Amino acid sequence: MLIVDHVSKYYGNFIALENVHLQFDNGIYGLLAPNGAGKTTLMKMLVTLIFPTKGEIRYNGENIIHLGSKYRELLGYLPQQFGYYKHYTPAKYLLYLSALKGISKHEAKEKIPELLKLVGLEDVMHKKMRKFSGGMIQRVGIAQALLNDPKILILDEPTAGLDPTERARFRKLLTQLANNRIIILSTHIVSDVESIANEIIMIKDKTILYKKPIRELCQLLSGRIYETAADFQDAEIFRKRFATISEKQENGQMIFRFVSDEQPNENWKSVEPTLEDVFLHVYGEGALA
Amino acid sequence: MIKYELIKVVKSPIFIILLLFFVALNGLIIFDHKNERENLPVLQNIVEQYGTKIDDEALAGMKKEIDHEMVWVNELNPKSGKQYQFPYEFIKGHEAFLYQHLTDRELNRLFNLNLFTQYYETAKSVDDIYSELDATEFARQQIKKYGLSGEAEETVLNQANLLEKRLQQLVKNGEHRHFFYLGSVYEMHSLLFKKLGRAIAFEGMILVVLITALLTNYEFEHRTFFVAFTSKRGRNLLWDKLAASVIANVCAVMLLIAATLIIYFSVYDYSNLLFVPISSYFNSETPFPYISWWNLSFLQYVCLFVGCLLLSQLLYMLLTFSLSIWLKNSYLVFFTFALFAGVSLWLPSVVSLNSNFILIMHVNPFYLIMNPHVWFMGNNIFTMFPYFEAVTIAAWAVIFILLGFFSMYKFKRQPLN
Repeated sequence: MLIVDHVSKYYGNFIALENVHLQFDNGIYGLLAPNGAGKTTLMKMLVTLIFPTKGEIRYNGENIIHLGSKYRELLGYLPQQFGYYKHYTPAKYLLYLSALKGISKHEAKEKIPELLKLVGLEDVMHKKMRKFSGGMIQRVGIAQALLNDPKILILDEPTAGLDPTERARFRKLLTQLANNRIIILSTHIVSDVESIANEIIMIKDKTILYKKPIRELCQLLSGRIYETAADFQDAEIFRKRFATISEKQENGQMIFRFVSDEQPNENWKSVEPTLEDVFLHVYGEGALA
Repeated sequence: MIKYELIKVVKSPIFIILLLFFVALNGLIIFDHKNERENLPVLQNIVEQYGTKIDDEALAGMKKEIDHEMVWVNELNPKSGKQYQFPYEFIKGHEAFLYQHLTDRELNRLFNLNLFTQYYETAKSVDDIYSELDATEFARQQIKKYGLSGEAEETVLNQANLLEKRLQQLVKNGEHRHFFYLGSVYEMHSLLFKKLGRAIAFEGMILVVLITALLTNYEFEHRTFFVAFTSKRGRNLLWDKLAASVIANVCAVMLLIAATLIIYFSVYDYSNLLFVPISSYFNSETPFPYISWWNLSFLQYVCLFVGCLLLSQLLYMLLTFSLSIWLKNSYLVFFTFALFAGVSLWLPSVVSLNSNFILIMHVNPFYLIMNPHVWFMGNNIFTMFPYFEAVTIAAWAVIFILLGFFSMYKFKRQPLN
């Protein structure tokens, strides 16, 4: 069990995170917040790149800083900016990282092709990464995070640069892996976690706003989400009068979704809230009451 | 892990190119004055025939050979009607004749005989020269030249007393009475230990700083530190990088030294001179001859010289390692290192000349490589201490090792963003 115990992180007078308390058991956790909310700071503390100013992070009861390499050998980490050696091939780079992770060369040589196949890079495993696209590099990053079969997998914006097919494949992969490990996945893209996360963690105002299953989060807006259609010429008036959380075009009309405690008009239908509604409402209009 | 770190150096072509460039540069230094040293084989002939040690038997044999050759010299120009005892007397009076009437072969024979005579005359006068040598007087001249006074002057004069004792021991051992390439003519000691020694030291320094900075900063400059330092090896990876730096730097510096020395000893033949004491009078290039603190042969001196060069480079490596931990950028490290070296060399010039502080200021790893030709010798008043090199290296090794440990301690607690 991984516990973030009342952790704060300050940079001089700047507060990056304040009094964060979280508990992680096996499963997938989606850390959902807009950029700059403190997701990466929390991630970096979880992987010991930075240290809490207050509080501590414990794994099975022991401070992860004191655990040192015993903790890090359980870690798989994909940073937001995944660096690589341009003149290395994915196979060679993963072999190097395997050595850093304490994996024997023999074991690594067996595992690397499997992982590269898993992320769809088996055809280019011996090609230098210099000419790889952003998505290909990201897939190398995913493969390296899985090298040591980590008990704690921390992924910071893992789908950045991936196309829709790769995203779907990635989500499937995470679901397969989630059985006996903690997976913490930070993103600002709701669809990345909507279908796979056991719980969603939302950070706002430098602290944890929610840590709940998706269903419970959606219940917070239950009966308060309305949807209606409006003509294009009325769209601007509509936007001014109501706090819309999303809008889309459909059959030559604008479809608006918005939050309201009362039904503004009987023609407007109440709809089931989605995680995206919650996200947009929380970060677009302020915290839920 | 060390193997993987070493691969990073080997795969950087800049080091191979730099190494080759430096070796070529040293080759140029070696070949630069080769023509002025074309008569060096004369000494080899002397040593082969009479040995390296100057004794009465060798001197008598040489005189006999000169007398025999002078018969031939006196027959070269019978019209002059004079009988010369030594070739330089003949040469002095026959400048025009030599080039008009003698063949190249005869000229060569005559000049070689003249050089042979010079070795003979020098060998004959060695004892007289050493009986008049005064280490204290030498120290006084140097003190006056550099303007030392007070405490500093007193310390240097005390050291001069030590040197005087060593001089007496040297004379007693007969270290000065050995044939070697004439320093006053060829300056071989300066060529090898000063010009080349200093060049190697600076070239090595550049290589060492670049290699160490590259290895230590590699993960930061490739943005791979997020993954590397969160792996099982974690921040201890820097110890592997330090170990790899030691191996890579020792290899690079030893290759540079070995290649340079191979070229040097292929061009200049020292085969019969390896066991000649470095304090031989023939080696001297100034009125006050080189006096090593211990009885060292040329070969032993070369080995100590190589060892000292290598250790000084390892000091630079340790400093670069610590700078890299703090700065995390190779360019910044290189310029900070240069600044550090510049300040270390400049500081002694602004320190008061009347306190021992001026001497202490010279105990720095950068001043050390400025005068490699007087390592282990009492010929420089600022370094006139028997263990100057050992103390400088040991003291700074302790300082840099402690700095390294402190830097690592801080690094392990440093946020990596």
